[in-house]
Amino acid sequence: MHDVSKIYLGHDVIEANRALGNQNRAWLEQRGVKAINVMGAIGSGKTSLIELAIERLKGELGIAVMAGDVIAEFDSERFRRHGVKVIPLNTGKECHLDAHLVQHGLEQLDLEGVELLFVENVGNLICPSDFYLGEHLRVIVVSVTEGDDIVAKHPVIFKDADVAIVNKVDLAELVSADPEKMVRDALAGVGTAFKTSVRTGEGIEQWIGLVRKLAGSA
Amino acid sequence: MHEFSLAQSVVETVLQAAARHGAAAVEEVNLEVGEVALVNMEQLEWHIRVLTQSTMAEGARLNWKTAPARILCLECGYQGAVGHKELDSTSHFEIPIFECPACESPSTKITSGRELRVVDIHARFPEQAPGEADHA
Repeated sequence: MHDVSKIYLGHDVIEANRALGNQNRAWLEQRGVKAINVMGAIGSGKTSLIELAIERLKGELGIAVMAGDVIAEFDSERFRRHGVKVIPLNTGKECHLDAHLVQHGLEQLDLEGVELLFVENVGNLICPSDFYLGEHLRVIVVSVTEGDDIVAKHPVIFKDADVAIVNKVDLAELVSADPEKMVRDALAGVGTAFKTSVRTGEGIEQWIGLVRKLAGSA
Repeated sequence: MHEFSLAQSVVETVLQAAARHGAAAVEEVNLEVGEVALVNMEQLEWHIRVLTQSTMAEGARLNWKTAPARILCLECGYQGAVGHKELDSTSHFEIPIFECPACESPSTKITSGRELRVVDIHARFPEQAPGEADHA
């Protein structure tokens, strides 16, 4: 006769990722570094917005970037041109960064002189949501070219974010999208939402301002 | 495809616990899945089935129940279940509404409903020869 019994575990695997994220957060805090997790849709302009912030702020702040992507080399090369430290995080077939991968990235990254770390997530509005990385601020970027109902379709990732950016508003008319609706939809989840265009400069001051404010806050 | 990495964590949790307790096989795995955790259970089940092949959890029955989402309103202090909106009356597809049901403020925080918990497993233990120490 076989003996079958129940083993109680109560182990939450999403919470386990969060615990690793908390370790990353502690690592960053010990070194006085603030981190921004930049999430968003594929092609929404995450890389361009980060590049712009680097260009504007590298004179006043030590900046490093973790470029997360299926093949991270493409974006890493773009960031390197701005003269900042870059760690590529190749996810291979995975659609998101997790705290474990970021932990390995942090082990390789010399944070001496770094005050601000951008972590660019994989372009995806679903998978990254469940994975806290240890960041101080969660920013989510969408653009008008994804259609103006993109925000309403993904309520959970917006609920988890601190800031939403509706990018490429200069193209809104061409793609018949209503960026005001996107901002309204985003405000149902996040505290701050605004429109930007990397091309015309609209809203960029607000983006730079919030990055600067985070990096400057003790 | 983030279900694959979640499945890896679930399988690792199950196999480690089974080994720690000296089990011979795992017959059943019970999960609790938060209502707003972005987990596709069909995919998760498939990945778990593949990852447990040739392990002591191969063929284990997988059960799950949904843990409801709860929110805290930062305006009025409401704590409780989220509301739901039916998007499609033919399929009864519902989405959660994070707006406070009491004061309609959007300033709410999700306090639970994001989990993917391995609640317990049912394990089979090797038959014991008389006089052997109890596994407990």
